[in-house]
Amino acid sequence: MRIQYKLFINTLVSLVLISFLYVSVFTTTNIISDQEKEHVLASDIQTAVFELNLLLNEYLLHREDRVLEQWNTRHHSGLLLLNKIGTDNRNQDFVRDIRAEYLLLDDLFQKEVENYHYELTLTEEQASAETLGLVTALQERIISQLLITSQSVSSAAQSLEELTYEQTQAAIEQNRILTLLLVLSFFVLTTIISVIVSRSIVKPLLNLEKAVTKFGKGKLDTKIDIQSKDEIGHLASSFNDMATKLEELNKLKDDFLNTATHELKTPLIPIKSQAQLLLGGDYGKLNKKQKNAIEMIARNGDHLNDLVSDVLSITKIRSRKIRLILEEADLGQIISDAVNDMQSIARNKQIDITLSHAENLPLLVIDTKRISEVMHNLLDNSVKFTPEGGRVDVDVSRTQNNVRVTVTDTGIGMDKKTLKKLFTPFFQADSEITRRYGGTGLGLSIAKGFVVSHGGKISAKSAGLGKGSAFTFTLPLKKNLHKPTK
Amino acid sequence: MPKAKKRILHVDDERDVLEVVKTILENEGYEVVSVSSGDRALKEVDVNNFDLLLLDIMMPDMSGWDLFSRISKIKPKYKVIFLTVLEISDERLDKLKQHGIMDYITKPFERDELVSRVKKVIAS
Repeated sequence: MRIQYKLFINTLVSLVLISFLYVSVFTTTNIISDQEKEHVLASDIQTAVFELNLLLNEYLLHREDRVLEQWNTRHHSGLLLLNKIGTDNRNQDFVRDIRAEYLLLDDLFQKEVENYHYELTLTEEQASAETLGLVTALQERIISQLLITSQSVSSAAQSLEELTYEQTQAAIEQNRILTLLLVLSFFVLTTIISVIVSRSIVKPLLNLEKAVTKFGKGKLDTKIDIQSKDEIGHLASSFNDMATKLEELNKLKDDFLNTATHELKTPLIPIKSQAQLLLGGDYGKLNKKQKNAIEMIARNGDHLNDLVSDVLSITKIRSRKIRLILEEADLGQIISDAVNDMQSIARNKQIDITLSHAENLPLLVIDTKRISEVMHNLLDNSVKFTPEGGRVDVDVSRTQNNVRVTVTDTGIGMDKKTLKKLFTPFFQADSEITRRYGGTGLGLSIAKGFVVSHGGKISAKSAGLGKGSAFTFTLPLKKNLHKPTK
Repeated sequence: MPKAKKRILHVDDERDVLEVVKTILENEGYEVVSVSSGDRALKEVDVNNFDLLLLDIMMPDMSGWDLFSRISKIKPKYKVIFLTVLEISDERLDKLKQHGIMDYITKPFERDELVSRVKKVIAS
């Protein structure tokens, strides 16, 4: 599924949950407010009943018509309240009972009033002792019934008030728990969904990142295995396409390099060989001028060959194609061989090369040919850039984890700017130097490539122009295979 | 009667290379047959015997590798030196040695190197 949809669904689910939560809270709040209304009504009824009681007592005491009117108004409004209350099914029966008693109260009251008025209208002769006695007895019965009923209505109204109050409290409590549960489950649900969604997005992203990093480190055959059909899946398959293309291009480049090397070097073979045949006297003796000329041809042929080889080397280093042939070797020996090879050229410039190396050098696991090339390179540079009569010192020492080789010269030195760019391919301080001193400008970057591919480091120092230079490279002891002989 | 000259077959698509190698090795007393394509080399091998094959690797019609494997089918016991501008990894060389390849020389070569390698392989 596309990430867009995943996120959309995630949001949608959250929204639905929020709406559900809102509706639930709204509904329960409504329930509470209904309960609250019921309770208020019950309270009002209680008040009404209480007031009716007061009016009843007042009327019985004073027999005023004013009270009668008040009773009627109050009773009527109380009845309206009683009609309103009882929406909650649980209270219906209770309310019906109260209503019946409430009506009865009024009936009795009206009867009492009627009775009283009847008593008043009795004429002297009608008001015989017997009749009077009857009326009084009736009155007493009605009053006592009135009082009982009024009492019972009061206590019923109070009970209703208490009941509705409890119901309201219960509803509030229920609402609180329900809301809490809803919020909790909402939280858990959205968390779970978010985690699932983000995992389904992040996991392939991490895979992608891993693959891209690997690819970036030069493993061009890296492919990503992502099955998902979302944007990341598309990205992955685009990446795979790109990787395949790059791999093809890389192969094409390698093929091109091989062909180019072949084509560039092939014409050099007859140049070099014929020069050697001429110089070797195979075609007869040469005079001095002829010899010089042929030597120049041979020398430049060699230089061209070096250039082609160096370009190939640097290309291999850059594309990390370099394959070291590692074996145990005596670094001290390699260095002293290199120094010996340089001696004749150095002597021609009256440059002294000295070599000092530590006694306890262990055998190192290195590519002899490549390290020897590094050494030749550094010595060649030092001798090349040191004026006649100068000196070149080679020092080999052992540190805790490395063997360190330093080549110091009293040569032309260099400024800070030059130091910085020294190991970049085709860099020589300026083209004037190339003309004056020769060289391909690739030696140091190749040396760096070889040292680095051994896990070592190379660096240069100089106090400034005219103050000599020092080149140092290290090779780690770590790869040392040296074991006690069996 | 002096010993019969050792015969060398040199295959390379570059005529100039063929010529200098021929000159160098003939000056050392070898008999050199130079051909410029794999097909011609196969014909030569078919009718003549040689003490050593010098094969170029990158040739337009048939690469040195192909030529070598086809020659091996005709006469498996040949001594062979590859002359190539490409570096051959030691690993690959070990494998080749099992099939009779004795050595390889990277071009451009030093005259002395060519002579000493050829001498060594023929003597082996």
